[in-house]
Amino acid sequence: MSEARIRQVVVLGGGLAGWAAAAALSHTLREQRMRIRVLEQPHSAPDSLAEATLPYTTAFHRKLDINERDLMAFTQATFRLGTEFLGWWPGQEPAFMPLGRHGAGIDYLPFQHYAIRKHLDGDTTPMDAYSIGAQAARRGVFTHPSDDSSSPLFTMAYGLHVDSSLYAQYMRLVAQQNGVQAITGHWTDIRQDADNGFVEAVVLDNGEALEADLFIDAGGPGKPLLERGFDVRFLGWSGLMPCQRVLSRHVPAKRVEPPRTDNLALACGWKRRLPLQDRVVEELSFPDTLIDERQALQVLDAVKGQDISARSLRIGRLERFWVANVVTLGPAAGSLDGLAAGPLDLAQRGIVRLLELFPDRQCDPALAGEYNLQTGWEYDNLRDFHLAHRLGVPAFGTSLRGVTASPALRARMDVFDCHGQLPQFRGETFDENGWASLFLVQGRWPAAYNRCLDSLDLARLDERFRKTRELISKAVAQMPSQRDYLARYCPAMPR
Amino acid sequence: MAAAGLSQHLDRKGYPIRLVESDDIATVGVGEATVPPLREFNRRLQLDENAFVQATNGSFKLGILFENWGNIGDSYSHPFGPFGHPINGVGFQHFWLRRRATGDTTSFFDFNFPHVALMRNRFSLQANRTEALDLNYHYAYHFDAALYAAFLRKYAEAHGVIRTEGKVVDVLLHSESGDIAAILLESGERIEGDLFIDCTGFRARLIEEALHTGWDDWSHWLPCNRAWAVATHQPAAVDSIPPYTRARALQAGWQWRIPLQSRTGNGHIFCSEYMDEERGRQVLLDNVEGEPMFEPRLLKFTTGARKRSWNRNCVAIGLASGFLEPLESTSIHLIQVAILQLLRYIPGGNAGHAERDDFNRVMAMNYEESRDFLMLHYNATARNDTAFWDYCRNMTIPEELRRRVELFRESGTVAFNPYILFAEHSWLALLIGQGIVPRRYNPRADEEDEKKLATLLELWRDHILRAVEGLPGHAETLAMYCGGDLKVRQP
Repeated sequence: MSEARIRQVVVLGGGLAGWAAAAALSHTLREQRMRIRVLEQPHSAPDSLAEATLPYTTAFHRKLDINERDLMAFTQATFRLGTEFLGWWPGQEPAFMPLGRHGAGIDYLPFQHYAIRKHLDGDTTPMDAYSIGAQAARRGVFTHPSDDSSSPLFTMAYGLHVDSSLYAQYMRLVAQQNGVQAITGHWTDIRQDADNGFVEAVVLDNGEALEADLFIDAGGPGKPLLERGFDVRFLGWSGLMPCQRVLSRHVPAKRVEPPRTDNLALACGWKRRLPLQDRVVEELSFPDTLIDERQALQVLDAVKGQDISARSLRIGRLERFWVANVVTLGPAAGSLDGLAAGPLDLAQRGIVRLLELFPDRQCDPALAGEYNLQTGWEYDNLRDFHLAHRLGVPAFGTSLRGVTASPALRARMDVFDCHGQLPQFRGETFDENGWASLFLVQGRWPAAYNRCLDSLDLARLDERFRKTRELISKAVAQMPSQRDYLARYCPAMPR
Repeated sequence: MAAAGLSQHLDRKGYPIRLVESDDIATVGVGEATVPPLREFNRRLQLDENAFVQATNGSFKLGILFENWGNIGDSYSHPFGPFGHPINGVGFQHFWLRRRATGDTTSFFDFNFPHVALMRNRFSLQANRTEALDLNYHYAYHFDAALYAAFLRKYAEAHGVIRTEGKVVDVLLHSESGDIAAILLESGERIEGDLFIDCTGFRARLIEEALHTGWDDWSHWLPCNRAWAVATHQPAAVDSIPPYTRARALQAGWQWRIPLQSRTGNGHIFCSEYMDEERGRQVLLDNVEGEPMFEPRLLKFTTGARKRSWNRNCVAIGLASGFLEPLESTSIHLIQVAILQLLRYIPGGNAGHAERDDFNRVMAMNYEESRDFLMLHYNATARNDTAFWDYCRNMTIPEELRRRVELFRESGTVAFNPYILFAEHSWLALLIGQGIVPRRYNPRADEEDEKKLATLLELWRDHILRAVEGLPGHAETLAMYCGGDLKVRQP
């Protein structure tokens, strides 16, 4: 074990990102015997009421040896097979964007090429027929996906809906069991090494100094530490993603809540519905320059004082996330408008990346450099994926309609529009299948199909597609309702 | 390869393909070494593997052996398979580094199955799977490129490709668009086309001579620019055949050895600024084993890449699009990558700039990463015995590569690359093989119990060794499955 190993870590900010980081570090680096402290700051920016996560969450929980049933029972969690977009794209109503992929039992070329071939031949079967996630969600049923590549369940993937404050509490319990200490207070000042700029301590308002070898800034009131002490710029994207104001509230659950997030397009933004086991969270995202709080409440069909939670997202990302011995995670590092990836997803990816590049006390700039490059790519690709959702939505008012695509997104769409190909990159949060699904459910059909399918026997293709639909229907018919599945698998603990 | 690959995937009525070649123009190569993805290319063409190896005088390849690179006397390989196994999601190298820090001197390469096998000239076509350790490996081939080309020609012609023998004397451009309209042959025949694929090698008859696309010169990074090549006789009966390409570093370059069934391909690649041609020829002959079959042939080249592989309606594939020296057997692989990318974007009614640009992006990334991978063999060295090595050791390498080396030196971690061509284990072989020792390892490697870890690693090493002892010799495998006239002497 290295003599220069990290002995102390201070996490600034409790909340989702902070406690998830503390839990992950204390669990996966037990043998380092680090002293980890989390500074919980009163009056920090509130987390959401609920989070919708990507399938990556499952991998994250596995890394932490977290039992999914326990966690789901504790956090009132439900399963999530994708998002049902209502009123978004003309001609595709409703449009289900699965977390798994479209097509099953079809290989050689990616599914979209065959779908495009058939579409250009006049076929109008909705894409949902080829998504097992869409079919299961629509029937309110669920079962865990399969590892068997011959099963249609192989093409299904799920994330979770979790209660945000319960999730933070759960991670807090995990961390505290591993010896992490919680401290309440505000920091008012930092002490830096005059030579290399490393943060030696944060100083609290009561004069106490928290010293550490590594600081994790997981958000808190005011600007991130890196913007204050290190001159790191924030790259704001609010011009591209104007829906930065979010109002949310709890509403009672219906008898059957499907395993999906619903998202309804409105003139002023969109309304999401995230089901938990005992209730549902409704969330309105809108630009506060477009409507005021009173109007927003009306849209939500709520009245003031009715336990409404409001927050503003700072949309964009830091130019660098890790400088010297300060690593920024969660909303402090960057935020998107929530159409595809949430703050919990981003925080978890950041945490795992930090573990892969975990420094010693020297915090060599090579590690920070790699972390910053990877994280920057991730945010930029995700930004484009989010922007792509907002193209061609007639329900939006004029101020939401104009979407400026980045050059990278433009190039991606231009390539797709020719023959349905997608540029290939490694390690994207949404891979080629994710992008293809998004374009297909939007009804974005290329002008021509892949020429390798010129000599394809269309009758045989019809037969294969019919089989796929059949496989999916059969599998879905055998799945239990999510309600029963949850009741057996992870009945929620009372709040 | 292009004609065979395209004819397999495209409808011959919609896409009639013509191929023009001249028997008067010699092709490069006395024996070609490849990398494992070629198996996928052959599989798609439904080539029978044993018949193919036999027909091309071929042999199997588990990796490349590098001698005298990091320093004189050093030796390591780039094997086609992983090192050890990750534990709890943490890369194996971190555990090896941890053991090393406590004084364990076991070589990293002892944990690599294809490395241990190739060092003993063993090879089997059967994949080895056991419960204790998944002995994953890939393999590639050595073969006679002219015989492989003949094999591909037969395939392409059977799939409707029309071959015309002849020399191109002129290239006619559309007066307005500037695209290529037709090529004119010596015979007077004029061949028109929508898309022209330039496989004319260094000459780049279409992409450069006609379209003036431009060339990025990389000779400051890969300075070798001459090669003498010769084939040597194999004895009538062999004891063994190495299942690897050997690349031995010399005073101003290096020498390859590519073992085929009935002969061995050899070549000395060097930089003419540091060694004259006559001396380069002598070095080759001094270093070959076996009798030369003909007078050594000289090749002159410059390393670099075409500014755009796809320009207007012309796609350059192979040496016409770029030349990197054969140190890592990348040339055939880059041909394959180009064909597969072209198939993704084969133009239909509405060929767009966007598709062409993405093709060029992917090809540029592939060439650049290959270039960086090759460059590090020269740059990460302690050799100071000649001016050539002094130059290589001190040259300024591209920022992306420098960053990669620094990250590894600091942490034992291989940088992520969204355009990756070489697998992580390939970079590990190179970085560790060239003598770059990380300062630390990922602290998660400390989570495993020390005694258990030591036992596990020992078990793995033994397991690999025992599995290799159970393998037949490479020559025996060849003789049994795909040896035409191959005679193996029994020990």
